[in-house]
Amino acid sequence: MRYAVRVDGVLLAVEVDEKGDRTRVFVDGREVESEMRRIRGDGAWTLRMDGRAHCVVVSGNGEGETVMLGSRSFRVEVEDEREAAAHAVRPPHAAGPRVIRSVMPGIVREVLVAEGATVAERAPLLVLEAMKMQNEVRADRAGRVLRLHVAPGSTVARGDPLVTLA
Amino acid sequence: MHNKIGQPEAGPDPFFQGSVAGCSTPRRPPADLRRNGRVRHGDVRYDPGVIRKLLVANRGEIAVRVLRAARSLGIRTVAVYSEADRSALHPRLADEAVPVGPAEARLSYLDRDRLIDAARRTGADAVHPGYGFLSQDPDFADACAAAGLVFVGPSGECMRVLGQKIPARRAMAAAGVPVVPGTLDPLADAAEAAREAERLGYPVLLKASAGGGGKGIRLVRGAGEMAQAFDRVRSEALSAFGRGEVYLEKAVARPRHIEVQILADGHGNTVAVGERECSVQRRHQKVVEECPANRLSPAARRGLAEAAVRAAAAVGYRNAGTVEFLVDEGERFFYLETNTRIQVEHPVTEEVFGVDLVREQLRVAGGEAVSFAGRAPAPRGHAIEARICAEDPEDGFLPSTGTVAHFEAPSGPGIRFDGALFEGMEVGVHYDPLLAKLIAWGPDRAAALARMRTALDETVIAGVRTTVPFLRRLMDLPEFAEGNYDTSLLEGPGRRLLEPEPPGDLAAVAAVAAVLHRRARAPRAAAPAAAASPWIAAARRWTPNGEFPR
Repeated sequence: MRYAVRVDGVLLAVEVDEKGDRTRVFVDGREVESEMRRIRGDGAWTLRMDGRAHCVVVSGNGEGETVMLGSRSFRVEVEDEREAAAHAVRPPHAAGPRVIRSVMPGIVREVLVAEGATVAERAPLLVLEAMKMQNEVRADRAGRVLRLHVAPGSTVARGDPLVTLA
Repeated sequence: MHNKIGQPEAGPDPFFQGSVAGCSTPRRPPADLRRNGRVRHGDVRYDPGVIRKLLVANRGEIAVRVLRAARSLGIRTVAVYSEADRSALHPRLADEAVPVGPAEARLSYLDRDRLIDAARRTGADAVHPGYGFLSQDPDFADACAAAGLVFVGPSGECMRVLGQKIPARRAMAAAGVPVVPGTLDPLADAAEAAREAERLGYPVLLKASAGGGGKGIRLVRGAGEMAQAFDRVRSEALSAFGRGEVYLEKAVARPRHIEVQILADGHGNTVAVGERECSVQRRHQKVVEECPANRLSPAARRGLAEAAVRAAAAVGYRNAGTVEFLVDEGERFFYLETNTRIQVEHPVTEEVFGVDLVREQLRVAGGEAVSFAGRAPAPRGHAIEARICAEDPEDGFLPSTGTVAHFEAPSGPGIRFDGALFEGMEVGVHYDPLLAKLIAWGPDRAAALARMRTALDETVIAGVRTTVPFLRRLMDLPEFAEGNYDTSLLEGPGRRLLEPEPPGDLAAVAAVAAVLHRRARAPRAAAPAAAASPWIAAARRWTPNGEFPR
């Protein structure tokens, strides 16, 4: 099975070749010696690769996966051959409503627009507070507020929808 | 005013200790200290005095730190926790745990009445505020005193003077402590500010008297910027602190931020316990601290300690405190402010001087003398502290949240890890992002630095993005490694450390990990699609030339 893997924007081809009980792994065509073992549950793993052992934790958060090696984290997207094929036939940017998502976890302090309102590009939509900072979230294009997903006091995680613009 | 200066201790860095005129000279510990059965720490005696039960009005690593100190003194402990901290570590380390309200700090950890009520209901006789939250709130100190509780810190009256920059500058100038050249009275308007700035010479800093933590401060480079800057600082101060007094300071060029640890008791002892270098800062927040300071002549070191003792004595300071100074390129130093609490970075001092500052705080608050008054411990070696925060260095240091999925603490000779971390812990948005502090001690700076590098490599905190990778790179930055830096380190030479680090060789490891993880979870992976055509079509999306990289 071949996989296209994007690691922090770097594209790599990983191929896993399973023959009987022998598994060979190739990265960009180069064979790497590797073995992954569970440390505990599904949470933590040890990956030995090219003579070094790494502590690995993989978690998904709705926008791809996060792979942590030790305390370093990488945003990783994995597509195997079939998924890639399926994506390829879909148009890349469908027109339609645009969901503005939170780029960080925080608490909604103020909502500055109402559903149905027309907003200009760069118009402030709401104020998001995270720890010691207050940040205005702005419209990235002109449009109409189709839906407000949050209210003042809402707690949001990174990637949560805030406002849908039509 | 005169200071009696103790004898320099053995070693290249003389350690200053003094008591201050107006108070008595250093004494032997009072008779009740020499009773049998006291808790000992090295050859230093501890006694909690009147404190029998302590409420810790804080959370996170400092709550854990204070609870440990109290329990080691045989003091019974009460933890308080908000709804967000129901499964946190600190309530589990106390003899009793009391809920004090919802996650929002204003309604829990900042609610004076609830905290004092919790102390009353549990029969506590003292309150330790930690740092942050109510630690520098004079009204809380007064309310504790009014409720018959010992507040582990200075008096409310003392905090009031030191909490406002203009009165503090006046008190320090009167006591002969050098302050940054500037105005000692509030400025009436922008015109007066411009006249004073002309006299001092640009650039100047406009500061709010009530400001702090990087708020209510603005650099003014020339007369043209003054009117707008004045209005900004004043309105910022009014909205953030409810007070609009503004004053001017001359901007110190390439300053270093060096602070002196003070311990003062009710027996006339005011002792300086060395200094800390806190010049590694990002947006006015400390990132890494060291003890002792680098590149400091013995004369400057002694001068700082003497000035700090004068600064503390000038306001009748009691308990542990920190006097912060700016030090310029010529080793001239200027009083900045006094932090009337235990500091985040106190462990570097503890490691080098072999003292337990939180136990000293409890002792002094309980009416005892500083345990080493009259006989200062000698500094030994060097310590570095790195603050591990739930912030994403790959994404502009935005706060990160999540569940700690896996945690491996560093250890080994000279390594100390002060935290409140455990696997399964939820890191939320409600509180300060500081997760833990990693402290490395060595017989000299090079050894401490080498241990710090190893320990950062060992530290695994997964599930939440942390500043560990950034700190690890910082340890290799030549200017830091050589100890040759000032507060501009992360704006100048270290600027690239604030940008995302390219994945390098680890990209391949992460890619293999992700693929093997996926296969392990779905072991019955279907046979690869036979036809090559959809695969090739798909590959065109990924590379501009339509070729799958090999």
